[in-house]
Parts: sequence; structure tokens; C-alpha cells
Amino acid sequence: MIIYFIVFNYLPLYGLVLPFKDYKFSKGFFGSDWVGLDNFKFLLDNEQLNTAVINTVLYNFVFIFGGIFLSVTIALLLYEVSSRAVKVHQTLLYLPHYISWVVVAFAAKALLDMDYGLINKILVYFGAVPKQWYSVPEYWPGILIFSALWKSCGSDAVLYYAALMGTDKSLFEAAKMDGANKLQIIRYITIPSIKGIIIMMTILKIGKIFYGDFGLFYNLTLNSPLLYETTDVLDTYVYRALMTLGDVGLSSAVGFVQSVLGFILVIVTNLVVRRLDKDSALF
Amino acid sequence: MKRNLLKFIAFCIVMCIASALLVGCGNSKEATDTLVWYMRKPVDNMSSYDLVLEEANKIIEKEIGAKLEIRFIESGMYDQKLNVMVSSGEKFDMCQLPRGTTLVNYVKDGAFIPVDDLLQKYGQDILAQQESSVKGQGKYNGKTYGVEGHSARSVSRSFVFKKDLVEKYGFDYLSVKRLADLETYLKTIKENEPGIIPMHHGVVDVVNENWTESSVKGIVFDEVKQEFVMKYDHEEVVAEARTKNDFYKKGYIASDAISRTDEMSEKKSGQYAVLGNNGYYSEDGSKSSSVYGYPCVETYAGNTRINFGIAGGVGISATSDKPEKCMQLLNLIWKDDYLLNTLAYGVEGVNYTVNEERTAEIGSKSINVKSGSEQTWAIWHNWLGPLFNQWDSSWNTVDVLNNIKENNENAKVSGASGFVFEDDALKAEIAKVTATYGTVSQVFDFGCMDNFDKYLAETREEMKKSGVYTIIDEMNRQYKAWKK
Repeated sequence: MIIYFIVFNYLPLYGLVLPFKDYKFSKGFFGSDWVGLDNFKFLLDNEQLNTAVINTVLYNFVFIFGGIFLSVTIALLLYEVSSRAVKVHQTLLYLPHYISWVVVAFAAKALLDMDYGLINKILVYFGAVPKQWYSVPEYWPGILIFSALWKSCGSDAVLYYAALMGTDKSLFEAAKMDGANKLQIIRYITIPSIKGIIIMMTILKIGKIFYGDFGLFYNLTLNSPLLYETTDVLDTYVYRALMTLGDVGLSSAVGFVQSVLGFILVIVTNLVVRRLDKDSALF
Repeated sequence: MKRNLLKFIAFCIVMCIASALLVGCGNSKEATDTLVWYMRKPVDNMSSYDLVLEEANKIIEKEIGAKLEIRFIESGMYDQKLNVMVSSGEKFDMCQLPRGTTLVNYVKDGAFIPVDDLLQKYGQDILAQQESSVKGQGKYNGKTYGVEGHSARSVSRSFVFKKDLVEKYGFDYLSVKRLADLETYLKTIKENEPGIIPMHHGVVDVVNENWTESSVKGIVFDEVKQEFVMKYDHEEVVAEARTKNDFYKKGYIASDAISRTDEMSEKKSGQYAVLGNNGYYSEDGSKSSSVYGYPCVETYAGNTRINFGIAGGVGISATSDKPEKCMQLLNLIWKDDYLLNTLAYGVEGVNYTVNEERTAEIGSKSINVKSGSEQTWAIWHNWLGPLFNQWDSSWNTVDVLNNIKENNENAKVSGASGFVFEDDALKAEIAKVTATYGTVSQVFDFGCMDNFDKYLAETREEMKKSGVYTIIDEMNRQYKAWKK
């Protein structure tokens, strides 16, 4: 295990010199010229990038906390149904996790297409004006949040459900004996017993808060430039700006900043958690 | 003890794999008289390799006393593999060159040798046949680094009309000169044909005679003023976009054009009355009819300017120890039609059969090339060099070749052809401008903005903030220095 980590996680760290170099393939990693912080200039004073960063963080914020709320709720519901029904539910809930965003994008197009989309057909049937889904940025926060939660909350719920299964059954029975109702049990027994794993999942996800899910934001929106206002995230912006340029230094500078900020956020979040409740902190 | 040993072995294996991944694939042995030529893999099934090379090598060995070995690399991997080969100093003789700044970087690192002297000495047949717009052009620091082949240098544009609709409404399609001339027809269609979208959003106006795209997105070369300008500062670009926007607002362009991303299937759907063509103009509309799958007529709308940066084509590696033989081989390919067409089409009987009837008809050799699952060999002629020495076949008929040749001769050459922009110091700005351009370009191309003037002003402001004028100043400075 240690060897695995050394070979695949620590050895490649020499790549960390790349953001500070004018990387030329022919000169290699170590032969390329040092350029100091030149590669980071691209990140400063860049209005579009700012929009993209704000979008990324806001979306991820909603994904994280909306996701927790939804998936814990689903886990609690799962806990209440019979064990045979759980199998079916688990499978169904987990399924979206395996569907690629490309496929989801086509499914969404079938719903949202201007002429042939199901939703516009329904709108027309009821006498409303069909909507141009792919041209109006205001619709998209809702669509994106819905899709992202639809895809991730099932699998997270299964995880929380597993944590619930591991809690001591006698606690619930005791509470019931003492006359606690369902809500009180959830409030005082269930949530506290899976608090640890919820916090851990949150801290881990906060570490990725500067990473936009490229598959989601690129495919689902059909990369429509009219929607960038609300759908452009860091990863799609960087793709658009650097794809044709093929400059390793600039792209790795972006990745470097993303991970450093993520690292700082993880440390800070963990600190905050430790202040509030020492036992729940990750480290 | 035993477990420790196992662990150690496992560690060694992992390290070996890791280092192999980092270093890239190793070299293989080469015979002394073999010329190794790297190129992209043209088609998946190349199982006639041995047969074709045997046939070709009979000639090559006799003429220049060397053997040819072609190594194919999957297209998608080619640029990366070439990078690895060059940076690891692998020994090879020839390869397909990349274009533009990528090639400039290779040249700066000395990966390929200049071919000017070799061309003079051994490449007279090449020099005699190269197109005039290419010969002696595309030098970097006064030297040529690639043997540029024949190619379609200019794209002919046309307006394509769905034939049944033009006939139904008796529209004089040949009178159309500009985008704006389409208006009355589009209006008729809009009013009378509810199932038809009057115009496909990809139709372009005939303005590109006066400006040419540069290597940086969002910057074009103004052929009249002979300088680089921001694309949306150029009057004709703006005028075209304005017309498009007008059409869009009047409902002549699909209101959801921007989400119609599968261009070809849209064009083939037959739901548009007017479209753009697909590369070549044909007077009788046959090209468009066959591409789109329904009868079309076309109106010629002009040719794009010839514009190429640094000369590419086939390069000779700095690691080659027999560059003279390489040039002799290339010259032989340009000189000997049989060798060229053997390398391109394959071996008679296996990969093609001669079409006697058509050969007699056109007065030069015509063949039927095996296609589909029977195709076991192909190299495109322009990868080898002399595209125009190709035998008539289903790949390109003589007519098509003549058409390309004619296009090349008639097309004007851009004032910036051969100019290479060195952008090392401005990468951050270029990245920003590229992103901004990516945001606005489709909106301009399809004309789908609500308020044209507001959007134009915003775009100009946005481009300015991204640093487009810093790049343009530097480009014009370099251009003036290069022009001298």
C-alpha cells in the first residue's frame, strides 16, 4: 500500500515544478526555463474567469449542502422500509451514478429541444409559448442543480444508509420505549449517530469546491455560449481558453491554484469543525 | 523472508512499468539502408502493408539504393508520439510535420533540418511541380523546413439552394451575389413554407476576400490595410453579422440555431431552403446534391485567400544520418507516378483494378479502388506530396483535381501568407482572448443576439479587456519586421 502511494501519488509530485516553467517538450521537465509566476498572470485581472470561479463555488456549495440534505433524507426513508424493498430502492437510486453525462445530455435534449422536446410539446398542448431552453441562462441554475443532485444523491444516500445500519439498534428501541416520536428519534438519535460520516463527506467535498464538474457543465448545456453567464465554471473556461493553445505551463498553473485553495479550505473547515466538536474532526 | 522478497520483486516490477511509462517506448533496431518514415494511420485496416512496400521497394532500391519503411501512428496519438520521439532523440528519417507554432517550436529546438540545399541538389522534380504560391514560401529565419505537397489551398464558397423550392417559386438563384440578395426569397419561403426554415445558420457571406483568419482566434488580417485587426472591428465582418442578425430577427434563421450542434445531420435533414456549401463549389450543384442527399443548385460566392504559415509537409529529422537519400526518395515519388500511386492506392489486383473504359475515355489511367471492408491499404496522396499526379479514381476524379488546381491558381494569396507569429511572451493574453472569442463567435456567426449594437459594443469592450490590442500591436510589429 505504501509502495503504491509512493509510486502513483508521491513520485508524480515532481510535476509540481510545471506551473513555474515555460514547459517545452523537447527540453523536458527539468530542462525547461523557469519563468517564476508568469503562468499565474493569466489568472489575475480576468473578469470572465472571476465569473467562472464564482459560478463554480456557488454551484458546488449548493451541490454539497443540497446533496447532504437530500441524501440523508433518502437514507432515513430507506431505513424505514422493509429490507426487501431496500434492495430495489438501492439499485434504482444508485443507477444514475453510472450514467455518463453525455448520455444524460442527450436525454435532457430530448426533454428540452425547441421543436421536438417533450417539455415544449406539453407547453404547447396547454396553450403556452414554447421556451428556448438553450438560449436563456436564467433557466439553467435550476436544471443543473436538479441534474447534479439527481445523479449524486442516490449513491450518497446508500452510503449514509450503510452508516445507519451500523448504529446500535438498542438506542432506537430505548427511545421508543421512552415515548419519543419519529421526528424526535431522527433529531436526537439518528442524525447524531451518522454525524461523523456526514462531516467527513462534507470536508472531502469542500476540498473539491474549486473543481467544476466538466462533464456536467459542458455536455448538459451543449456548450451553448448564450448560457455561459450562469453555466461557465472554472473547468469549462479553462478548456475554452487553453484547449487550442496547448500550453502545459498555463494549464498546470490553474490546476495548482485549484488544489492549493482546496487544501487550504479542507484545513480551515477541519479547524472549524474541531473547534465546535473535537471528535468529529477528520484529523 | 519470502514475503519480503516477493514485496521487493513487486516493487521492481512497478518501478519498471512506471519508468517505461515516463520514458516512452524504446527504440527498435534499424538496418543501415532503411529509411524510416512516420505518418498518421490513414485507415484502420492496413493489412496489405507487406505487399505494397515490397512492390514500392523494388523501384526505390533500384533507383536510390535504399529501402523504405513506413511506420503508422494512430491519428489521435500522432502529435504526442512525435513529441516523445523528438524529445527522446529517437533515430528516424522522415515524418509528417505539424503546422504553425508547433512546428516553429520544433524548428527552434533543431528537430528538423533545413531542406533548401537538398531540394536544389536532389529535388528538381519537386521544385518543378510545386505550386507557385508555395514554392520558396513559408521560410523560418530564411530557411525551409518541410517539403510542402500539393493541396487544396483555397476553399470555394457558394450558396446552395434546395432545387425543388427554387423551381417552385421561380427564384433566379444565379443573381445572388451577397447574403443581402437572399432577402426576398427568404421572405417568400417564410410566408409560404411552414415546415421549412428559410436559411441554415452556417451560410457565410462573400466577404473573406478582404480579410483572412490569423493564428490567434479573434484577430484577422485586413488584406486592404495590410495589417492585423480585431475581427469585430473589421467593417465587413460586422456588416455580415448585422445582416445575419436582421435575418434572425425576421425568423429566417432557426431561433434555436445555437443548440443545433450536429451540423451535418441538420444540413442533410432537408428542412432548409438555403445552405452553405461543403468545401467545393460545383457549377451543376452535383457536389452539394451528393453530400446533402437531395437535389441542389449552387451559386458561386468566391474563394478564400491562400494563407499558410511556415511550410510543412514532409520533414527530414535531424537524427537521420542519410538526409540525401530522403530527398532522393521524395524526388522519386514526385517523379515516378507509378511509385506514388502504388504507395497511395496499393497493388493492382489486390487494392485496385484498372478501369479500361474510363482510361480510354479520359486519356490517362483510371482505376477502381477497393473500398469498405475490402480496403486494406491507403495513403492519401497529399501526405506523400504530389496530389495532382494521382490517377483518376473514386477518391478524386480528374475533374475534381483540375478543379482544385484551378482554384489554387485563381485564388488570391493573403498578404500574411508565410508569416509566423511568435507568441511566447503573450500566452496569458492569447488564452484570455481565445476564451472571449469562444463566448461570442457563434453568436456573431448565427446572428442570434437581441440587440446587435449593444452586443457589438460589449464584445469590443470585453475583447479589449482581454488584451487583444496588446497582441495586435505585437503582431503588427512582427509583421512589419518580417515584411522587410
